[in-house]
Amino acid sequence: MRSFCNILRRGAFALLSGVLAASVGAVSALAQSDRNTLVVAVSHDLQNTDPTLTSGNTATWEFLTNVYNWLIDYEVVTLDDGTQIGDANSFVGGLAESFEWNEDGTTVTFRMREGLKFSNGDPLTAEAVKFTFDRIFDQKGVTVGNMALAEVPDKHHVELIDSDTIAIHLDRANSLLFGNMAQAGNSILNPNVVGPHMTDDDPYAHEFLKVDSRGTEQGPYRMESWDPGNQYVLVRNENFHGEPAIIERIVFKIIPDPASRLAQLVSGAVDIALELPTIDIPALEANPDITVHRNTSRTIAYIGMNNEVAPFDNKLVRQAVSYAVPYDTIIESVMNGYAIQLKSPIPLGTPGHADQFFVYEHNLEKAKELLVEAGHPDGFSTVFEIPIGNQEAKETAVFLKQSLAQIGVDIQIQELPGAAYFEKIQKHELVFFFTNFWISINNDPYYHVYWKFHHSCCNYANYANAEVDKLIADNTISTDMAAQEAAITEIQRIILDEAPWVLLYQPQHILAMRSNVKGYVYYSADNFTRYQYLYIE
Amino acid sequence: MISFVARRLLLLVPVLLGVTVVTFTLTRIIPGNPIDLMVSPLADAETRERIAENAGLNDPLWEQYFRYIWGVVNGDFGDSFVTSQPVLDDLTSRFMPTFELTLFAMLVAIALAVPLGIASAVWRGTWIDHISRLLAVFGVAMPVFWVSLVAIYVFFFLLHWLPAPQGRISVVVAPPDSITGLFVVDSLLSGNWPALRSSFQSILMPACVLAFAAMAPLARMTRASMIEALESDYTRAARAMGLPERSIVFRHALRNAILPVITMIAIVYGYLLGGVVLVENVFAWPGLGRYVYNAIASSDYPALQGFILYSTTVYVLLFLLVDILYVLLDPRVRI
Repeated sequence: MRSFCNILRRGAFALLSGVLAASVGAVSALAQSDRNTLVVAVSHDLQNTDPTLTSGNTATWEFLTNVYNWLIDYEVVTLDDGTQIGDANSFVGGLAESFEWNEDGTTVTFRMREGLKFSNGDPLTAEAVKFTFDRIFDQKGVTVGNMALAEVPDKHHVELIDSDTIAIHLDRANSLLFGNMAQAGNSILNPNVVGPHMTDDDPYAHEFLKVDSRGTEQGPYRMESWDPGNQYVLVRNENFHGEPAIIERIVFKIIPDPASRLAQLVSGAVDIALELPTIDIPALEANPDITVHRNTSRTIAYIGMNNEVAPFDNKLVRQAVSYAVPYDTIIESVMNGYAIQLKSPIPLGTPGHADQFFVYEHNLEKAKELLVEAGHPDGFSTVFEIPIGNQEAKETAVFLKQSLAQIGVDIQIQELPGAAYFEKIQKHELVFFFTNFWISINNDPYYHVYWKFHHSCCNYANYANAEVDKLIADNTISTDMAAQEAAITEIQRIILDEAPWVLLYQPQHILAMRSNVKGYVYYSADNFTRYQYLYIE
Repeated sequence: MISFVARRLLLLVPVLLGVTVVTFTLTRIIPGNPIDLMVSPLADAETRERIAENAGLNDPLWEQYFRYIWGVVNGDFGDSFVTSQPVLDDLTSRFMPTFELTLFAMLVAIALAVPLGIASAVWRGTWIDHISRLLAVFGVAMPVFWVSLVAIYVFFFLLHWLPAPQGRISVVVAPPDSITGLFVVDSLLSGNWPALRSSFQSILMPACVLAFAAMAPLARMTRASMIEALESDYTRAARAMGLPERSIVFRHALRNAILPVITMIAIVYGYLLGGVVLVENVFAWPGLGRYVYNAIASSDYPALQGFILYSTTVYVLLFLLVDILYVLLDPRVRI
């Protein structure tokens, strides 16, 4: 008996000491001391990297933004306090050295820079631009809708003049064309690389581009490797036409768990961590090793009420709900103060934004009165649908349920898996729902209201008002700025009165990095980081 | 023996066929359209339609099914809607990380649980038995992702004993040349010491966390079945014959008690393959668990079907292995 006991003891001791021996001396947790490599903790992997027909996945968009370039780019401006930002409404030459509008604003001519090269060394000329736009229109890429909105309906409107010059013709003059051009959807592709992959089965080489970009990049970085599910690595593109990127190599490590991303940032195992919960931000701001960049974004979070489905087809019900929402609580408790209240369907930061028509405040008495007037003295019950895994949505739903219960409206919170949520929202089948993914990249109020209240694509709440429709239709394509300004104010007045959405907030775009990482430039157009400016001190 | 194995392997065919029918139907009943996650919100209806058409989603279900089966027979599991890669490549590249993690976890669990179970059976009612029971309760009751986070907090964040949870190997260490696909084994075989150190340190924490969860049922099963064996007539006979206690415990009781434990190991291993998803998420481990989690959330039909086919095969093979082990360990079982 004693010997058996000894064996057990000895065995356990050997095992324990083995484990300890292996772990002691493993203090190499702080691996980042290399100034030429940046490690970024991201929450999800790339998905479909075809720049002209990619998904809405933010990791992929940011990747594309760093490996591709466009005819024009956002201008980087210096604010009064010395910070630099990418201005969403001001454009400078990108791959094009210069551009020029004709007198009546219907043709813009781009002159290409000299000696442009793709990442594999192939020359980049206006022929590649023509090739790219032909493919975009043939493929019906995502940007085609934006081009058509700007009165560039087909590929014949993109004219190759010579190897250095390309022109885009508009059917009617308007100011919408440039707003989407400095974006992945207009990435200029290398015909020598993409061309051979165009086959009868796959005429647009989508199968190639959705998993690879090597050889066709012309942005500050190029793809070095992609190990799906684990990491992807960018390396400086030595053939980039602009100021070369400072950091040579960026490892994007996929770390799905937010707590794990946070711990690794604080300990210095990664240099930047994306998508951290707002509740952890105050502690990070107090930490001298961490710099937190916060910028109010133009992303809009709102509760959609399907204007065609009872009881939300009744304006009074929508107004009642708008009065019952505890706005301050949501901003303080859900967003931990890292958001501003949204007071117009057009966010602050977009020209034409007007918040003087916002009358809704947390007023349960008023909400009850409106419900009685609407014919629902005892309230009603409904389902509130949110995408699964969206913390903001979940917490908002809880506060909403509490508040609405006090006016007799009983809601059942239903979480939908990503695919189901997006299917229903695209088909406009959601009745009462949370959404916080929309940002109008083109920072133009008409672009915004056109997609959100006018076009069938993204008017998820099925809002319909003949007057608003007419105002949008008459003013979207126009150069009469005075009329546009008057109309956009009127549109906001009507929409706020009719309350098709409960307006919630504009979140701050938050990016936390180690304090020795400097040079960050915020781009309000899309919130994506341009890694070329960053350097490690 | 060979004919038995062959028969069992043949049986795999109808099982897998049945599984494909069920998963094919189920994945398509679940609400959600994968196309809406594949393209940007601004894509028009025509583009969506074209992509659905290309993915074959507009064909009648039976046609899609037979095309799928024909592909599988030819080694083509389709392309994942999310990763855009062939599902077979996805599964293969993620299988080894998961296999390595669960294998290590299982080894740790067995190494701790079986001695603990034996000890608590031999010294029933003593402190060692109570500790073992307590551990079992904790192992079952504490959510594995929570234990993972606490482990990260203590061993990485506070003590700096173990490296950041960045997956199988530190981002600054190059992975070893692929021989078996198991990083620890490969770096050992190729004598790549930095990789061995980094991959061993990386696997230690997730494997121990998983082992902690897996230990409980193993220890309890070992204890129960050891107690039964120790109270049986043959043990009493052996004691009466004056055999040393050590020989009674190890040579007689344990040999009889170990059979249900082996079945339990197979069951627990199956459970580990499922439970690994949470641990993989927290430790950024690029394995199957995370892959299938994403596939479910985005209605990635080909990936889901591929994964279920794979895990069915693993289960069937696992239990085949258990049956073979029974034959080897128990002379009463004949096939």
